[in-house]
Amino acid sequence: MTKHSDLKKVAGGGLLDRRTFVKKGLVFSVAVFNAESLNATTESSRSTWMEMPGESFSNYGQPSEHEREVIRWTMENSMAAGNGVSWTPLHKMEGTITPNGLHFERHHNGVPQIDPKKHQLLIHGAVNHSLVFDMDALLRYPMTSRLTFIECGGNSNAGWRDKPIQTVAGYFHGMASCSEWTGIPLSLLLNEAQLKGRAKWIIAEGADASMMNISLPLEKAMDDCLLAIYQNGERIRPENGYPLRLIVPGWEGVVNIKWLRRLHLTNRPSMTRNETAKYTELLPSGKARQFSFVMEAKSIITHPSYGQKLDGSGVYQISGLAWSGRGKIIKVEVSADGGDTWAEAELQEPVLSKCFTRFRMPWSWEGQAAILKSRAIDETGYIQPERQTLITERGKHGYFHYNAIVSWGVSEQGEMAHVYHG
Amino acid sequence: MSIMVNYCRLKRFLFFNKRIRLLPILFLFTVISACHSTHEKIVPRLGIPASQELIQQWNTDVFSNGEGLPAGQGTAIAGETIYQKYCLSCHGLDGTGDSADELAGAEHSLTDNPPDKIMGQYWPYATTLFDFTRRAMPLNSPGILSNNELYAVTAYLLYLNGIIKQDSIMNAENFDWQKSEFQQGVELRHLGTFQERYTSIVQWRIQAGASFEVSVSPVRRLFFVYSGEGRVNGEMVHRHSAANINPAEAVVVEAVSELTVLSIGLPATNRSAS
Repeated sequence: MTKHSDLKKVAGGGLLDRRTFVKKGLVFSVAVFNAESLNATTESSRSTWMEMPGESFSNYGQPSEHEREVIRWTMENSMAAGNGVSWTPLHKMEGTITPNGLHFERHHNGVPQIDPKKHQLLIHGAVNHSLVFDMDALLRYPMTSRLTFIECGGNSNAGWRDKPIQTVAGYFHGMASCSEWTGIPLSLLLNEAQLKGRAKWIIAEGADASMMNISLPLEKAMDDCLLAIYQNGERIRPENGYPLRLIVPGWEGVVNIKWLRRLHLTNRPSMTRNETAKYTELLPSGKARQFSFVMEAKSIITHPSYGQKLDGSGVYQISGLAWSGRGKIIKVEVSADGGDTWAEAELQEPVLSKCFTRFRMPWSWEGQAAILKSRAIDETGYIQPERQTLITERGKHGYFHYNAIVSWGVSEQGEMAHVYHG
Repeated sequence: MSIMVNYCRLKRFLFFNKRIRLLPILFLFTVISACHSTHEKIVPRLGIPASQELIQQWNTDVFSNGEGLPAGQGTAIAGETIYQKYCLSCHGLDGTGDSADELAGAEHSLTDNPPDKIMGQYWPYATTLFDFTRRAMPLNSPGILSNNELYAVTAYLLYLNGIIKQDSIMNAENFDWQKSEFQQGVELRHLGTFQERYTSIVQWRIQAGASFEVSVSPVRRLFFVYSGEGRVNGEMVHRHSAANINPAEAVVVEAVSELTVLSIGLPATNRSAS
């Protein structure tokens, strides 16, 4: 066991060399159990559940009943239960993959219960051959998998508010999730339909009650878009687009059309409601950013974060998520002194393009007030901005695409608060 | 002999000229790439030719130049009745907003704090309004409105925003108002403050750390305002209108209209997650 005083500090506020744990096998002092309960004696050497046969098999496994609080929290429109959102509880999760039942949702008018035998995909417009595909046909096409995040363009929008919202990380930043999506490269079907020269945009439409539609530039469609059929190995859940979802890696969630039923090749965008009145960012000038598709680099410390409490001084592991819609995260820096000094966190391998990347950093907390921050840097050199920088550039009324550095204030009692700092 | 010489010269040439030496490698690469792209092209080609009937039936896309607008027409006069029947319960009197977005009656311009992103100020094309209404509205029975009704209710919303006259006819030829007027703003009517507009404010004090579930009767006219210190755990408000959340943290909940607190604690829908 290493003495805390021996630990190599790499930045202010007690941040430690990120290789500390590997090198020295240091044990966290963040105690979930106290020493007394761990050492409590029992009459038997067997715990209760060791004294009888366990439960039988299950057709579909469920989380432990002790994990009932690890759920999506939902928020619906008072007049339309299917119009709203649910958040991924990032503050209760580790690693990089979102279980399917916890993937965030944004529905504009509910989850359609689609019979896959009656679902069709139509490709038409500026193509030589307008084509229809049913699901049986699509399932015969060559597929590929890609791990990628989907983030709602409106994620983290509470960050624009004048006062820092005091809520857990998942209900602030949890309209972002990460899955392995498996499906057909969109380019394969577009090639089969044979694009005409004037095809420059593609209008995608869903088979839900709101007939969600958006316009996508053709270059992106031909580059890395997928017609996904599977999510994390099983068929996509109804709330995430069953039986067919358009995956647009790195771009705002709204263009990842769920329940996809139609692709219209055109020479211009349709100017749909969700690319004009919504999902555009009003700037201080009164003009708005439009077609701001890419989700820029973002990071958030999930542990420790609001709602969690540091249990006495000692060594803690700072852990969080970083992602960028432009490619790989190349570096995440962490500060424990409000941004005066920064140290590089360890990135969990593999680091994949347009995918959640887990970062970790050991931290020796000695009971002082502190401000924790993380900032992501992606392979294009983009550095996640401080909040004030973002607001100076965009004002406070853009609503969408908030990706500023998140600051968690730590009190001397170890309580966490969301603060604005820089 | 001459062949031999030529071969030797060729060999020397190939050996000393680096570019040429790369040729076999390039050739191999080309073969591999060709195989690769050939492999990619092996698809079952199961697309069935789509009939014109299917395309016409499914393709409801409308463009800002009017392409895709159907036959039919309407005026704001006819549209007001349709609005009252299908839209008022969520979008409020004269489109001023309720459980759903405000559509008209802005109190603030786009450069004010806060701005009102109403149709007259923030929706750049009338065609977008028609397209969205046809696709998605009303939420409880989308697709119910005829083309004439859609033109009429669109005209009514444009009229509420001061963009067209009450008797202006909207149809597939007469829709292009955005270029001349949409961006210029409209004369704004002062609607009063929140308290002035809605008098039946109900307060419910909820202890910090608790979350809660509420129902409201009658269901329309639901607004929540948070005030005070501390906050409601997780800020979860079940069945509130996301559009009308006041950003401040809080323990006091004010609701317009009658409010019933169903539970204090974790909301029921989230509790039954097993």
